[in-house]
Parts: sequence; structure tokens; C-alpha cells
Amino acid sequence: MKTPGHKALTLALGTALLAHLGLGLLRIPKKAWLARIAEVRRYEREGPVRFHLKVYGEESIRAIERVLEESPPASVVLFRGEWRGPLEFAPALLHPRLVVREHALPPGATSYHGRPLARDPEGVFVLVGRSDRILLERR
Amino acid sequence: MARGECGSLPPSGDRPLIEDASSTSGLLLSAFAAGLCLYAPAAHLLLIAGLPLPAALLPLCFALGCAAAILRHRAGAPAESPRRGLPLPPAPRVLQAAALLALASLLLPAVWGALATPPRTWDGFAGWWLRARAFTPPADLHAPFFRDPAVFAHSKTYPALLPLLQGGLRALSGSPEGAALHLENLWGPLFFLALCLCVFDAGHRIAGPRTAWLATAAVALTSAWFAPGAAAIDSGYADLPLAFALALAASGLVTKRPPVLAAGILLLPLLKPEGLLWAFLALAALFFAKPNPARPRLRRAALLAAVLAAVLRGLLAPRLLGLPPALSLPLLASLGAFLLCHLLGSLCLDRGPRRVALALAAAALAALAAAAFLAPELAASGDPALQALGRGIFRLVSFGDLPDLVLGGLRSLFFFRKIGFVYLLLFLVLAFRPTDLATRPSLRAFLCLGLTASFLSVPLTAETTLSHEFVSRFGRLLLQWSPVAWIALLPTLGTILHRGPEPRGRSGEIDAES
Repeated sequence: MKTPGHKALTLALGTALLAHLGLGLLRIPKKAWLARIAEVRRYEREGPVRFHLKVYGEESIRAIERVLEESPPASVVLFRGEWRGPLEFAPALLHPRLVVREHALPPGATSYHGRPLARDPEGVFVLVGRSDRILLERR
Repeated sequence: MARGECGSLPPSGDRPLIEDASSTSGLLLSAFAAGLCLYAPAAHLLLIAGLPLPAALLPLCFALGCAAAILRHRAGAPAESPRRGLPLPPAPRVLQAAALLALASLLLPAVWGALATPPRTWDGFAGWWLRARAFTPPADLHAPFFRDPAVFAHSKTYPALLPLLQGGLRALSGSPEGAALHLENLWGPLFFLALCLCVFDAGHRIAGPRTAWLATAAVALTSAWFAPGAAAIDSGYADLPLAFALALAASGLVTKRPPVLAAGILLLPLLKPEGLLWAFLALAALFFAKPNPARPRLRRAALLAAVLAAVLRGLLAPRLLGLPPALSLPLLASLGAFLLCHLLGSLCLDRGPRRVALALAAAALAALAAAAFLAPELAASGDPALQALGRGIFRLVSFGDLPDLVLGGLRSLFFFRKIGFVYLLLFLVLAFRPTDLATRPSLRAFLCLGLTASFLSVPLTAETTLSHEFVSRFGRLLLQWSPVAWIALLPTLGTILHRGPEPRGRSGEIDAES
């Protein structure tokens, strides 16, 4: 036999279920459509480097963009410093370049794994990781 | 009679939108799971042996999976666990149409978002996407990316199944580097569909067609899946595939189907690090299963799948760092834990679930006490991971962070905008209608153990502040478990839909597969 308590509980459960379904349905236009369209458009407008590194400042963006402009895809980019933080993006943003710890190379080396080191006329690039930004130095 | 329609055909005036929906969903789900379960060991074994991955491996495994599912379906293999009792009414067309419309309206933008760009999230891009590039056939582990520890990549030794799948699909797109569409990201929508099919299939078997449609809609309408961000369908995170594997294991547990349980357990450790723990919990949950003819087969299948997954993952992990495959300490520890769990289960299976629960609680308290003694040693060790664990144990046993832990946990559980109301429903049922869950003690144990382990992992393995851990990690763990919670809530949903408690033997009892 259904008791008043049972009815109240069924009502409460039904309300929570309807709230779940209603909240989900209400959020579809804004979240599934508008937010996603805005995000994809921003990605296309800014490109992957600026999209991912915007919060880490212009210095970080310029460092990665400079390496991309100056180095061939089959090259090696050196790094040192704090790898946790924005530097975590570097291997994916620079792919198919390999991002390699600087201390793994002997002084004076010009290639690694048969690939040239990424460089410009001023010297070999070294990305320096900080917790809040990426710096570009030369070796 | 359509299989899985609970012994009823719809009246002619209310024909369903999809004819024989349960049979179709079961077939699709079987094909997808079989393809995954063929591809995962094959790809892992090739890599462990140092051989290159052929591009044809992925389509071949999924073609074989489809063929196996169709043959099994045609042969009338025990794909169903027939429910006892009176037939339940079919789902109204309006409910089916609304559920399908909701699913399409959230899935279509996610498919577009997945194909349009590489993952736009941190882990999805920096971790999984990069590894998918490295695993694209004809990849092997002789590339500098794997054999040189000086080459930097995030989470190199993470379980490899998702990037292997992504790499396999990427190789099929012809010229992957210049491809306009990022085909490899389609795995997100595919796993989401498979998750929905899994919940639908479990709902059909347990509580009838109406409840199945409703539960599927409830899972799909969880905002965190479709809103852009971490763990979303197109985020490239592994939380969604892991949620699918969890749902598969839960479905296998509750419908007593050894192949389904084994498939879920096999996939769990190969998808994400915490999957190994979830597989262990699935084994432990079988302690609580009621005595029935299917239980020994369930336990054997679960153990075999867990051991296979642990061996594959354990042997591949050193290869991803350029080392030869070896019996490492983590591999031996996980194998030992699985075997010990199975052995303990054999010893105490028929002594009653209450005694088992008491024994487990006592073991957990003893482990906590031992850990408290070990914490200073761990915190003083040179290994950062052990130091973090030591700090975590200190945090847990000092109770200083207890208010933050409780508040953070509650806030995440009831973060309605992200996870919806599933955990509120679960708590209401646990508090006021525990009998709804009592008919499936193994599933209840699986869910409770999973949620407890998820909560304890926050203080134990916190790398940053507790509040950040709750927001960034615990929320995703809760999301992984939310489909399992919906499966556990199926009888309650049935009760709400049918406006009253269903008689015992209708919603609660499922015949064991014979």
C-alpha cells in the first residue's frame, strides 16, 4: 500500500529527475551550440599557439611562434627549466619537432637523432620553462 | 517476439520509432565492444614485441568484432537475460522522439567540434593528441619519442589504448598531417554513443523500455559531457571512454553477463591510470554478488580480463620509456592484488555480504593505521610521488582538512550545472529507499567503493590545493561514475515512471544466463 511518505518521496525523486532532464535540455543551446561555435571560431581566428598560450602572455606566444617560423619540421628544439606549466604545451604545438632536454646534448652539438637543432642566426634556441610563462633564449 | 522487449509487443497504435530498439542497440554495442577488445590486446602485443602497427589493424579488428557480434546475434546466443514477470508497456513514441532529438541536438555540435580542430583542452591537446601522433601507424616504439627519455612529452607512460585508437583512425584519413578534418577525434562521439547504448541496453534488460529511454536521456543530458571543457565529448580526454568501460562493467555485473563484465574490466586499465583501481573494485564488488549459477563464471571472466589488462599495461609501460618489457613492481603488485582479491572472494563468498563488508571495513581501517605509521617515512623519501603520498596520508589522518574535504566533496557531488542531479537522486534513494539498490548488491558495492575511492584519492594524491583538486579532478571522477549511478538508479526510475513500486521479480530479479 502506498503511504503518504512513499508518495512524497516518489514526488521528490520525480522532481529531481525532471530537474536533471530540464537543466540539461536548457543548457543545450547555450553550451552545446553557442559556446562550442564561439570556441571553434576563436581557435580558427587565433591559431593553436595563441589559443592555448593566451593566458601565459605575449612572451610565451612569441617564443613558440618564433621557433615555428625559424625551424624546419624535422628538427630538435631544446628546453630547460620548469616543465610543469605552459611548457607542457610546447611538444604538441611544435610537433613534429622533438622537444629535448638541453642537458642531454653535449656542448657544441649541432644535431640530435639525425635532426638539426632549431636555431636562428643568433644561436640555437632554448625554451626556458617557468610556472607562468615560456622564455626563448639562445645557446 | 522482439528480444529484450520484456515479453511484449507494442500495441499497433503506438508503434515505436525504432523497431526492435533493444536488439539493434545490443548488436551495435556488442560490435563496438568486441572491436575494442580485439584491437586493444592486438595493438599492445605488437608494440610489446617491438613490431610496427599496421594501418589495417584497426579496421580489421572492428570488422571482426562486427562479424562476431552479428554471428552471435543470428545464432540466438544468450544475448538477453529474460526478465521474469509481467510485460511492461513499451516506451511512448513521444518519449523516444524527445530522447532522440535531445541526443542529436547535443551530439551534432560535438561531432562538428571534434572534427573542426585538434582538441582545444589542456590534457586533450598536450597529452592525448600528441601521443596519438606518436602512435599513428606505421608507428613503432623505436622512434626517439619513445626510446629517448630526454624527449619531452606529457604523460608518456599513461595507458595507451586511447592514443592507439586515435592514431589508428588518423592513419585511415589518407594524408593525416594536412587533413582538414580531424578524424581521430571522432572517438569522443563514438564512445558517447556507445555509453548511451550501454545504459539503454542495461535499462532494457533491467527495467523495461520506458525506463531505458529515460535513463539514456538522463545520461546524455549531463551537462559536463556536452558543454565544451575538460572531459567533454570533443575534449580528447579519456574520461568518457573510461565512463563507457565502467558502464560496461556495471552492466555486466547487474545483468550477470561474463563477456560484458570482462570487456569492461579489460578496457578499464588500458584507458586511464585510475582504470586499474576501478578494475580491482569490479573484482571486489563480486564479493557481494548473491549466490547464483552465473557467479563463478562472472568471477573467472573478471579475473582473466583483469590479469590480461594488467599484463598488457604492465609490459607496455617500460617499452614506452625505451626499456625492455619486464616484470616491474607495479605489474607484480597489480597482479598480486587481483589474485589476492579473487582468493579472498573464494574464501568468504558464502559467508554473507555483511560479514564481507565488515571485513573490508576492518581491512581499510588497518591499512589506514599502517599508512599513518608509514607516512613520515614516505614524506622523507627522495621520490616526489612517495613524498606526495606521504603528505596525502598526513592530510587524511590529521583530520585538519576534514571540513575542507567534506565541503569540497559535497560541493562537487551537488554541482548540478555540471553533473546534474544524479547524486542527489542516489543519496535520496540510499537514505529513503535502500531496498531499490538492495536487489543488486554487487552493483551497489561497485558504486559505493568507486565513489569512496574517488573521494579518498583527492587528499591522498593531491598535487595542488584541495579546492583545485576537487574542481579539476574529483569532478571528472564523479562524471566517470555517473553512468554507473544511473544504472543503479534504474529500478527507482522504473518506479517513478510506473507510479508505484514494481512487484519483486519484475524489476529486481533477472534470471541468470544459462
